[in-house]
Amino acid sequence: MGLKEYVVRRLITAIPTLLAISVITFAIVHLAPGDPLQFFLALNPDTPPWMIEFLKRKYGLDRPLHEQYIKWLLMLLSGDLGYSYISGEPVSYMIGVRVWNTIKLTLTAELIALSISIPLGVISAVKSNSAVDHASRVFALMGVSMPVFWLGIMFIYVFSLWLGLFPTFGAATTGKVYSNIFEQWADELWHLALPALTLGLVRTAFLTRLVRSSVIGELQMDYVMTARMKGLKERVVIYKHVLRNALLPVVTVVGLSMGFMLGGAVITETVFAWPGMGRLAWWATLTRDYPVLMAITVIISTMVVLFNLVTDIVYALIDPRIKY
Amino acid sequence: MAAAPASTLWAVAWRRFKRNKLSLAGLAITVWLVVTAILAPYIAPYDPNKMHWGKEYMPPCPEFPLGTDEMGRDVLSRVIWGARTSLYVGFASVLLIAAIGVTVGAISGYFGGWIDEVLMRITDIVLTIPTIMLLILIASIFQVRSLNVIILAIGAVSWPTIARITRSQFLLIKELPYIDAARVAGLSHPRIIFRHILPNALPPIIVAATFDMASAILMEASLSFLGLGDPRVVSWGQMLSVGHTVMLHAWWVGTFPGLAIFVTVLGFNLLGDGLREALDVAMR
Repeated sequence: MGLKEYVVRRLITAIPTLLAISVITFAIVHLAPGDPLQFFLALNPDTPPWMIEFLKRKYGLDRPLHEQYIKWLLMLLSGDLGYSYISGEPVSYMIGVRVWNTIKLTLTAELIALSISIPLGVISAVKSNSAVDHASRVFALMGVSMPVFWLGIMFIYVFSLWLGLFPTFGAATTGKVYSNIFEQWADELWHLALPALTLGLVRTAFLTRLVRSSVIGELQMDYVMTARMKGLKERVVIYKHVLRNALLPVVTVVGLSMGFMLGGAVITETVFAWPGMGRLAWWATLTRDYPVLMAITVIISTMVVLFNLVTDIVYALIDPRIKY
Repeated sequence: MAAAPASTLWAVAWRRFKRNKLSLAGLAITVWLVVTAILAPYIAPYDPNKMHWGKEYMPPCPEFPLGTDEMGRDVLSRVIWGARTSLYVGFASVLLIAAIGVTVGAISGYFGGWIDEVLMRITDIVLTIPTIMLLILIASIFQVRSLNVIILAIGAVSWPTIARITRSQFLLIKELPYIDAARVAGLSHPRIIFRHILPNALPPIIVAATFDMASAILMEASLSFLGLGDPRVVSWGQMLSVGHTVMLHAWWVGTFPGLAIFVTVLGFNLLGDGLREALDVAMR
């Protein structure tokens, strides 16, 4: 079977997964005790009964569950994400203005993480049990144990409040008029630095452990001894032979754990008041704004499914041993 | 034959475990935490909820070693009581995770066929939905936010890892000759699964459960920090969510609970690393 068929087949198998995710999301919200209108009613206790009836009909809450689900799914597929229970704004608009901020944050963090963890993990593995290895393992272990919100708070305290080097919140200076595009970039980068570093460092720790154990595993393979016996320079052995193979599982994990990354983004965005989807999800949770919450869950899950798909395809492309 | 008991898997593992100082540090931290949590009422200097009027935001001093918070409550006592909440959520979640994960994984690996197909599909789907989204979705639908809801949510999102590990162990072990012998001897499926396969499948499950303990504690802290925790109990995450707003003039309110979370999670991660090495479990 060719690569094209493989891609098509993987795309088709993603469909039931996506459907299942939408059913789970819908079921969690709608099978729960209490009705989505309750929070609204708690905020507006004087709502007259006819208004409650009207709202129920408007949001389709008087229909049987499976009908509600199918209606919601069809709306979702046509790109209509409904309206926020709280602000009345279209959900697609609320997410649209924030999605870029989340992507910017997670990609920058991932870039920071990869550029530190790969060299660090390789050095740590090659010079196993050296001082560098011990230091990097301690760093990695501390990093995976660090609550991301605490790290963020400490960064804000030290770098923003104490040293005054970085802003404490937001993705850009509010109300600032830029004279040129570079000034805008500089301002945005300045705001991005701390949140991206926070998310990136926790991620670095996780990836460093992975790269290290992957390289160590690879170094024990027979072909490494063959390469060394052939008289190849150690540098060639490591970079041309070992690293290529050792990074395969890393590629998979990086792709498969994008969901984890987006999860970390929810908390990081909350700490830094970063106007992204994660912070919106958090706010929607506190106010029980279900249309927003359901839309974000489905969108983020879809992103993860697509990432997994791309990972599988990339993996098949770079590893000739894989038969599709 | 006097040496026989000493050469069991567990004795060998303990000998290997003892050699690594970091593993011992992890064990020491976790034991210390468990003791603190159990003895909290006796070692905390004050009632964690007692408000000392007129003594709000006291910096660390002999009377209040870690200072007081915005309501004049003793931070040290609250950090000590917080260990109870964290460990309770951690242990209960891990029990739930292991119960679901082992059951799903054992059935899947042992019976195979379409049952395996269906269960692994479900496992993959749960793995796909980002943990924190599923977590806040579940936490948000309950009107009453109790620790049990949090435990339920953590269990519901975290079982797939152990399910997969259990399944792969079962796939390996069920092909061994002694399982064939058990089958020929006419033992029932549950007996083979629980008495003959599961004990040999345990090492990687135990290692995964230790890491799950660390992540369950982190999840509870994150939920509480986000304001989705149980408001009636003393929780490090909650202390931190108040503490971080007053960081500049009262750093001690947020710093110590944060440090407590960090040390606890570090302890369980060290223990997990140590167990992995001692039980000779391959990573992933």
